[in-house]
Amino acid sequence: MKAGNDAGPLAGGIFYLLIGPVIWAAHLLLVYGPQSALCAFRADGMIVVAPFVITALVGVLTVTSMATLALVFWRPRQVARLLRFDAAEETDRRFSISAMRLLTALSFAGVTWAGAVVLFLDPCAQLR
Amino acid sequence: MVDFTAINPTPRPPGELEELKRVWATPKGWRIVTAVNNTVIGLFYIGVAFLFFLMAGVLALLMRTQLAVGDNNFIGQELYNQMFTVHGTTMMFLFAVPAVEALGVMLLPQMLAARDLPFPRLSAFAIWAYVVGGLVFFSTIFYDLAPAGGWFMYPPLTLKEYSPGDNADFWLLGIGFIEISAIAGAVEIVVGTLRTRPPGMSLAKMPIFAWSMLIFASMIMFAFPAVILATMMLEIERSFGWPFFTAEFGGDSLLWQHLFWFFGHPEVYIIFLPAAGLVSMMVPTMAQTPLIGYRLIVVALIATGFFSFGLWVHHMFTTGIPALSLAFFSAASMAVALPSSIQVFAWIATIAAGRERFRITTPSLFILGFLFIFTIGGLTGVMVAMVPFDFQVHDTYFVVAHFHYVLVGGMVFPLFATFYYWTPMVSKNMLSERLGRWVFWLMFLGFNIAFFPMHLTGLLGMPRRVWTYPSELGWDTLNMISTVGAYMLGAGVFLFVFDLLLRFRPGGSGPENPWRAGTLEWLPNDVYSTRSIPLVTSREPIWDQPDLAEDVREGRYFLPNAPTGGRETIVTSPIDARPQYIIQMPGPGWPPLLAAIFTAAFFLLLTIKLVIVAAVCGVIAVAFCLIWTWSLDVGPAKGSIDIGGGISLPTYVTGPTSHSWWAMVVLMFVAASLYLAYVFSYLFLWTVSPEVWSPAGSPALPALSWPAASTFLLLAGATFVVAAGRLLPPAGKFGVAVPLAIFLALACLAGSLAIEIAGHWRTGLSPSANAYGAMVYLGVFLFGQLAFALVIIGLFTIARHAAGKLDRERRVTFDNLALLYHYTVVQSLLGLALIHGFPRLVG
Repeated sequence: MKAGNDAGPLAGGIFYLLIGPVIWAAHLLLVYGPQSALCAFRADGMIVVAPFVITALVGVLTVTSMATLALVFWRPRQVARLLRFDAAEETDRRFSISAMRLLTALSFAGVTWAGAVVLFLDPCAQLR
Repeated sequence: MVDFTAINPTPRPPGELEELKRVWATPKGWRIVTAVNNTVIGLFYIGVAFLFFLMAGVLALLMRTQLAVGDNNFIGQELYNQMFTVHGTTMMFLFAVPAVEALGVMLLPQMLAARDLPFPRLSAFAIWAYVVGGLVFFSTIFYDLAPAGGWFMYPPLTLKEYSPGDNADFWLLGIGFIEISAIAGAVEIVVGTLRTRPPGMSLAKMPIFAWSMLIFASMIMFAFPAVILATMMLEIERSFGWPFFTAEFGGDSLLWQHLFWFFGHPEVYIIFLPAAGLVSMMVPTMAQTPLIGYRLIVVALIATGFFSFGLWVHHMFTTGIPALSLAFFSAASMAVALPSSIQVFAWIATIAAGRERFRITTPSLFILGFLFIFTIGGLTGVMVAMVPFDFQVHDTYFVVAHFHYVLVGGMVFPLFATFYYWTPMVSKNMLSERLGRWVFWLMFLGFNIAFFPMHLTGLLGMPRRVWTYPSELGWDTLNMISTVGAYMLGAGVFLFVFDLLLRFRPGGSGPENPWRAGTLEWLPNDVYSTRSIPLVTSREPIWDQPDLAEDVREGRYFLPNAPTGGRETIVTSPIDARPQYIIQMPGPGWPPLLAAIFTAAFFLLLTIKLVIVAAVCGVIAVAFCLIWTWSLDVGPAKGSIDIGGGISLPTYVTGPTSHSWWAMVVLMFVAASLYLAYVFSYLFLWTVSPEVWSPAGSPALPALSWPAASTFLLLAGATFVVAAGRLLPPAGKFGVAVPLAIFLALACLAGSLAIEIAGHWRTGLSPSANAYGAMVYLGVFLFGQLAFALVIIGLFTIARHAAGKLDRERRVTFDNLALLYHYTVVQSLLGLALIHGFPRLVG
């Protein structure tokens, strides 16, 4: 084994592995934050937006996130190039691609699951 | 890629092994408290964590005795409230997290064939801080000073008006302090896992336990800062009246719940993931086959860790949040069951696919018990993730049953399996298999008899945290059964302690690889870890390289000696594990212990308002930290050394390759998480109470010239730091420009802070007037904390330069200062934009 001084493209590698969950987290943040704030403002009378605007916002964000996740799943090597990540060994490369894809698939399920509720619920209804 | 051409010639030179033993010797007698070896302090750590488990367990038995029958007066209401608070707090903060962190400290270097973790004195500091702080906190139950607000300490109950006295302060300062200790351990584990793996052990070959500890430590980095901020805010409100949580002044007690559960829910997985990692190590050994679905398990660990941050609102389903928001978190709560179940199926598949019939040993029994109990806990978790169901059982004994199934099943049973499995690594004797089976069955049956009926008592309507109940409600029989089960569980633990006292003899390893495992911790070990550090080519090296143990013992692999004459290990690259340099590590010493004791004294004396004595202790603690760090950053004097296999490595590096740089970056992530929690809090309170925000509800903001002056000073300071780095002279020279530039940078920082305070103060804004004022000054306080740390580090850096210990080559101390300084500038600029820009934008 040769001694090596390159620390490896760790930041790109971490982001590559986590890109699916990061999109999932961004989706959760972007749907929860504005929806709860807009509902609070509606209750206060500070900013009154029509309910369908909130529904549409959540819907658009969900569809966009799902499309992005599908793209990432479909083109893993392009994403790796974009993030300047490349594992030195073929086994590590295969490992990182399959791990990234699995995480992306789980994230796709999470985004779909969370976003789908907008089809069934009034955006600002209280349960009590 | 692997072109390992030569192993070291044998026999090795005489005296080499003796030198290793001398360098890594454990201090004798009472000086053992100065030890920093991971095996010694790891044992202290796990021992104390287990002691807290026993003490909190005794509290549980007393509570169960009180609840055995209705209308009981065995324990009074106030003491009962203190007991359930201390029980929950101890189990979560003083047992569960420290126990898994202790296992990380103890097992990781062995699994990675490293001589030690990269910052042994930091580990020692973290452990002693925890021991002292934890024991003082627990002892409050004996003199009526224990907190009584539940382990999650919800305001307004815990505000001064409703919880007078110092009881709640012991929780806030004591636990806040112990969280800092946990973060210190997390820094150690992240850097250790990524940088001290043996050559060849790429991420794809890393043991699952190391993966789980890496994720565990990363989760601590992002979860704990939220609760540290929350405890800071509640303590400030209790002590100085800044109304973060008081609705009358624009605060909101729900903010506490958001911050607490942003930590509290990941905390469950922080506890569970390492335990799952341990199970993933033991199952393949007992089945004598590689883990099925290694890749899937890594994915499941990452996904569980990540998704767990999106579930916190499911603890707040009944707080009045809109239904759609609840549905987002309900979906996320159910989605997290997917990665958890991947692991369960992978373990079952490994057991089924074993090369041999799955061996039923005591560790195996505890693993099977874990699978049964944890799966039930997971299923009831999916039930309470459904909003309508949660509305019915919220704050009832159903929830008590659910989380005990998850936590005891998911952590305590794997921990006991771990005790039985890894004891031969640190003790001359193994624990008794015969007694072990008794221990298991008593614990397994006792647990289920105690907690299963609680599902029913909960469904029958029995609320949590009641010290007694009327007999005519029909809960007596179920409660009596639970109490009998609790005593059975206690008997199992007692039997385990008996076996431990009888057989556990630390200070030497027992039978070599008794379970026929495949991972590196079962290589021949001594105080220096393995004699030589192997080249790893697979996930189960001992199975795949039959001569590995002998080759390692004979010193045929890397670093079979102590070429620098001190403690050292190999640092490798984070992804591919290519050897990069040799880290020189400090040995035993008093400073970490004394720094920990005085840090604990600082926090605890603050609790009882002995401010001056506390300040003196704080100064002494900082002094010991400086004494300890003075001996680090040893410089490049030792040059390069040959580690074997034709590889020569430097003994000193700086910049992004250095482990010290990595630790500072990890710390910056922690600071950034804390600051993001602050930004969230600011925006949350504005959403709740825009009427108290400037300019409508508070004095107008200072003129823009004030933040502009602050910004100018911050940027000027950053420029001075860059200049100081460029002006560092060669070795042996002293350049007056360096201390001058650092001093000017610190002055700019202090000036910027002073301008920010003065600007707000001149407008008449008071931190105790309303939530807006409190948030503005809290931002300044967070800036001040970093500035204070930078002043100390800056003066320390100047002193090292003056002493000839810092120059163009030997500059790790300076690099750390520069990193933290630049981080502070970025955070402060963001803060200025928020505080001065946001109200103008929305006002």
